[in-house]
Amino acid sequence: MGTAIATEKANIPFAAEAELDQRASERTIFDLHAAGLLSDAARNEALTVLCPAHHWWCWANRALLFVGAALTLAGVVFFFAYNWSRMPAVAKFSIIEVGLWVCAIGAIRRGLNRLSGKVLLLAACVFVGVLFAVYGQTYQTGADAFENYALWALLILPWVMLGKFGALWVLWLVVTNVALILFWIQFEPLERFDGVFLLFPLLAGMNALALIGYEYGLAQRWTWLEGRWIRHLVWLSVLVYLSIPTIAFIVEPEFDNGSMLGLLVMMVALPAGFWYFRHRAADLPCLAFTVMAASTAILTFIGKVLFEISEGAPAFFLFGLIVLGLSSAAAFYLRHLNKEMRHVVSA
Amino acid sequence: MSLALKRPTLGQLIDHLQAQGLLDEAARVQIVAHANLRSARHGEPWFVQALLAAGAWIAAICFIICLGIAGFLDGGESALIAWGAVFIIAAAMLRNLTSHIFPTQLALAVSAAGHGFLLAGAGMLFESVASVAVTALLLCLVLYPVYRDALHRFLSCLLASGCMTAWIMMDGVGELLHVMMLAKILAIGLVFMYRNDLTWLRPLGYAMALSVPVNLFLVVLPETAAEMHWWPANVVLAGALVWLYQWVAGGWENLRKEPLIVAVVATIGLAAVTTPGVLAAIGLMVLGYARRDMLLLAMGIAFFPAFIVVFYYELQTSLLTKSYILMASGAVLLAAREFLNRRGWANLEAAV
Repeated sequence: MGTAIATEKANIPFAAEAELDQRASERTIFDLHAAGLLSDAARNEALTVLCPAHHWWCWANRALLFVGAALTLAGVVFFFAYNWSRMPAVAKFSIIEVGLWVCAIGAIRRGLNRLSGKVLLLAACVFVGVLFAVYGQTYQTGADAFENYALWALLILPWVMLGKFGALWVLWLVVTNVALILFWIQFEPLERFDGVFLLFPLLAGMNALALIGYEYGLAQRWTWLEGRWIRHLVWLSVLVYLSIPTIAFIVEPEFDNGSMLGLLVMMVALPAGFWYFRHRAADLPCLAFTVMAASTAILTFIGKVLFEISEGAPAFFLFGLIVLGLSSAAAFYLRHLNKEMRHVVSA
Repeated sequence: MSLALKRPTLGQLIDHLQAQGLLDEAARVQIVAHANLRSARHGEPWFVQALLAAGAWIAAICFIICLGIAGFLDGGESALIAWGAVFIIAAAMLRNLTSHIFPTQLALAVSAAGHGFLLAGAGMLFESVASVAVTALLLCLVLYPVYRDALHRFLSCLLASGCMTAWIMMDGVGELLHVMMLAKILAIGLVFMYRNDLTWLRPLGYAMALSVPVNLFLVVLPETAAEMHWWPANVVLAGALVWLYQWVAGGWENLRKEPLIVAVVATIGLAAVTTPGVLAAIGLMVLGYARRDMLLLAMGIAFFPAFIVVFYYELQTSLLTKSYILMASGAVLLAAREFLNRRGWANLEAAV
């Protein structure tokens, strides 16, 4: 029996043994139990080892804090969005400022090295935004005036820098993006503005700068930046912003509306992003976004050429096949990359 | 070796189980082979699936337009039904013949086009949304075991669910949404909690997990909210959460432990004050974390902001009432956290 097992073990290919070096997960344990390879007792022991009770409480602690704070803050925003005709302005401002101070002092008391302190600081930053929105309502500047968002971003910047909290940086980036978009819309009405698509490369550039800062932070081992979701979100936003003028230029080439600049920046961003996320900071979701953005641009170009030649049934049939071919090729390549990256990680 | 402090590798875990006498050497060999096979089968990231689905849908639309221009569909509903059936049968045969990526994609696109023809034909023939919903459901039931493709199964379930929802909403029996939601929650529980061995059922589970939040959007959307009540959805979802807690805890008897009593009380408190969207998002997050299933967890997290935005535009309730609802919901969760911290259960807040 022992010899048979030894022979069988020796026959396991190297790639199979490499699976043993992957981090175990509850899902694997459920699968193994479902396949009859683990007894009930073995499954329970494995789950106890993988996820002891304190892991659950740690997760619940964070989840309750984030979800509870998010709901409460959303409630505050809804409260001030309500058309308060009978509440005097001084009362509105007082409530907001009390909330702001309570959160800011709470953050200091809890300490910015604790999650609850960081969430309180985030809440204080949201209160600053609410303050500007109510100011806009009260003094008829409009809650969506770009100055409100620009000032909001400017005023919370020191807190954002002190907070060392990824979610806070993302909030700041979102506010900054909205400020730039509103500036573009409000400064000059879109219909009369020639460089209508110039906004998108600008937004992409701003987010790309934020991404470079994030990558620099990672290189400096700022552990509070370790959640990869920030990288995914920001790189996706860069590609979406660049895809809009790129598609616009392919569909209707105009040289004075800023779309060509978007296309040119896209032509630099795609290979640069691919190289970076393939060779410098291996990241499959970012590579996938890059491949998808490239596929979208290529398909738009092919569709444009094809439907200019003919709009008949064969053109639609051919385009359908090309879409299938390109998406299959992209998926095939991403699968290959996924396997390759898994083995690099396990090695 | 302290496995509890750091997440172990599969190899370390197997060694640990062997040391505990819970696993023999033969089982280890089988586990390695199984893990490798599982990795090859299920290692597909979600964005690859999304890319394949998007490609197939665009191609399907092109094929439908192509046939429309070519005049193949001029025969009315009978032509649509006939072409739909031909497309779906051809797609199922093609998919069962090969697993290569391009034919698989082609089959998916052809099947999607076939679904479009068949549903349009059924709708025109019987002139009712009900016929479309019943056709979609029948197609899903027939094709699920026959068409062996996870993505197709997922999309087929989602389509059937969407058509059923449209039928319920358009025929003015909106309260049936709550019954449908109950059925979906039971399906999710069955697939992810009790029949984990039936991997072929997982696309159904994911489709149902995605469609429950979509159902809830409809419960609060401006056009429908006036005819709907929240409380049945809250009762169903609160019951589902308690059911989930006992599964996570390892049995109903474990619900007597203090933190789980707090969880149950907080859930009942939430059900009394909040909207169903909050309960559904929490359910997906807890299930996702318990299974370490990033897709379910991400669905739960993404659903929160989406639901809050939809909730903002719900017209039946004033913004003031909504603000009280949200603040009360947040307060319940923060109070539960504070209580657990004070009792020492969750007092593990590490420096971050």
